[in-house]
Amino acid sequence: MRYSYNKVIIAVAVCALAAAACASRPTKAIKAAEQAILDARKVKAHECAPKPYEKAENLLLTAREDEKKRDYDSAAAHAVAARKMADLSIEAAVKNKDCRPGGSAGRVLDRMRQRVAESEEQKPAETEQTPTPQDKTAVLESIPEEYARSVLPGGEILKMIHFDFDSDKLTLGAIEILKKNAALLRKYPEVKITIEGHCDSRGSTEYNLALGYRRAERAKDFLIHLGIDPSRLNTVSYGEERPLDPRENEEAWAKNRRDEFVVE
Amino acid sequence: MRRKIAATAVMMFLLFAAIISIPRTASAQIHIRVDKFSSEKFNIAVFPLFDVGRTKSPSVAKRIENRLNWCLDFTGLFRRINKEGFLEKPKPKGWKRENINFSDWMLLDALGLIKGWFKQSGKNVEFELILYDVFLQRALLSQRYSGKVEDVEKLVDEFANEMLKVLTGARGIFGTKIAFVRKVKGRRGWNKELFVVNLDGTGVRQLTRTGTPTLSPSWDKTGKRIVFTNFPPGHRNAAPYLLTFLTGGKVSIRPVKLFNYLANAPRFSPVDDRIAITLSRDGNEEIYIINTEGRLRRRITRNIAVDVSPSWSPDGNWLAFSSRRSGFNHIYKIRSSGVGRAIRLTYVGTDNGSPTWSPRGDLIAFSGQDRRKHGGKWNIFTMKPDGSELTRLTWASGDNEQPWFSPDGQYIVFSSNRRGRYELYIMRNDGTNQRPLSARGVPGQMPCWGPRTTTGGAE
Repeated sequence: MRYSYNKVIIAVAVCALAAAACASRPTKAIKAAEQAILDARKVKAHECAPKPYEKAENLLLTAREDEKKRDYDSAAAHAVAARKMADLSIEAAVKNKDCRPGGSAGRVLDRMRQRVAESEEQKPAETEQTPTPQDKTAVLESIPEEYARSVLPGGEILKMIHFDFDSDKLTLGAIEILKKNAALLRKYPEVKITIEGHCDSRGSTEYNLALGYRRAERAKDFLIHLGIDPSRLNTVSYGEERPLDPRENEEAWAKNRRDEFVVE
Repeated sequence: MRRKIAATAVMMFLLFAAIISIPRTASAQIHIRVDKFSSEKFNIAVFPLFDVGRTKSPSVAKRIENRLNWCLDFTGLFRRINKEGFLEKPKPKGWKRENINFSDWMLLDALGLIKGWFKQSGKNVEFELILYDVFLQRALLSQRYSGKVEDVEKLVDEFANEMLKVLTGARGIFGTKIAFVRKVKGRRGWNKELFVVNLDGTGVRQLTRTGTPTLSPSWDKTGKRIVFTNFPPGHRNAAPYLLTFLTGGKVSIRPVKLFNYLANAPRFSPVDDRIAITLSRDGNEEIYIINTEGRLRRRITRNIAVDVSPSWSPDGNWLAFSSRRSGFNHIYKIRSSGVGRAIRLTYVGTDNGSPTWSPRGDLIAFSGQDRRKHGGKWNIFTMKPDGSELTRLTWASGDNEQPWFSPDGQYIVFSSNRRGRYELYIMRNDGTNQRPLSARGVPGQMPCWGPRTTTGGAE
């Protein structure tokens, strides 16, 4: 009995050491990937878009294996890629108009197709799919959840910028980040981005939507000033509707007042 | 003979009363003033309905009575006299004027008395409700209804509306609906979607499943369409969308127009099909008027600051809006013809938004907060359309936001988190009788009260 206790204590100690030594376990990223794959199944992406769907599942499996091997960096990268691939499979399922599953999946698909048809701007189908992180060295660190949409083809991240309360002025810190982002955008001239403007929850909802737009436009103007082609820069405001941190305190508000740079 | 004398006496009294009261109300009959604050409530007795058909169907009588009581309480104008104290016993033809002993009711301090009968036959019901003026000893209103048992509440709403017309001069708003947005969990996490609900909190119905934020609903004057803000697919800025109620409970939704910039907070005009909206053309928010196809009709504001949340005056000649031109957000008004300058209406607070013009034209309500006071909480205020008589309506009860007037201008629906989550609340336009839409609460934000003619929406 005493012996087995010792064993447990040793095991716990080893685990604690391992956790301290390595990067943190990417449970969140894997959960997100699992959810995305579940969502893809809901619209029958495994039938309508089997290729990307299978790729997503394989990526998730790799991520889980990596996690078992305690290679958390790699696991996070694969999980993020799996999520992106699952999202892509949904898009592909929507585009594959010949595929008409019955039941709720069919209805959901029809609705999504209708919405795509409604949009004026019919973008040509993307031929190139998001690169999977085959090259582990490219993904140097596990990508934080909030940057999953801001990864460039080489694995670099377009960092977000933050604003002062009720202000659309670019802070000195924001200007430094924008300069770095501009350099990255010059490195990948084919990449187009959407600048998302966000606000904290104070201020009225309708005012915040306007403020978020101004924040996105400010960053766009500055990137154009740094020589980035305006046709590569789209702006959209989500106002207070997409907080990074839903809490109501100074820390959360500061986090939520931001521009995100999303790679299209 | 005696009755004749009594009648003559009453006539004389009436004439006399009419003469002495001409300067005040020009009518001897009870009149509830709704244009100014009064803590005095109107005492009213609702006598149990008499079962004419002797069908022993107390449930219908109960429903009629409950609905009537709910309507009376909703208005905040009445104090219902407790049934336990009634001196009269139910009797056949007890609802007839000659069978009522009005002095009994005077003893109870009742000013009004509602009596009636009902008859149920199968799935149909017939009933009559009579409102008596206890002091004049005569009927002010007598209405007979017949219909399906399931529609009993609607029929009682009809009576309550008529009754308010008699007592206050303006028809009631029972039977109207409220559109609002609510946070729901969708495929991509939490989003606000468009909903509609009956005035009593029943019949909640989800109208959109867009998976993107849905905001700022506004009903058109017919009650058949709602314009609101939504995000088109493909990472584009918010645009106005138009929802139309079709027959059979179906709805159709189409974008008014997808602009290449942000289009925010559309509002239908109360007199025609124009929509006031904030467009971020050239990166600067200005108020414009567009039509339902999205064609620009007129630019209204010219200022480098953010101008948002336009709201029409009832005649369609003015727009109230929120502008940051002074450095903080304040309420302004401007002619919808675009002629003339914006007139500033508020000077206190730091974030005054969501202005809304009463359909009576006598008040503008808005939600405001002062970052430096009240602990940064939102509260509802009203003022005259010239900015005078600023009145705070909500006190120490969490955040209270996004007011919208009822079609008769007597009530304000708003969103409050006083019980934790954001729920819909209703109060009188003087801030009295604040209550959640239903006891259990209707979670929601950005409420918009539909017109009296609302056809679509909840079941």
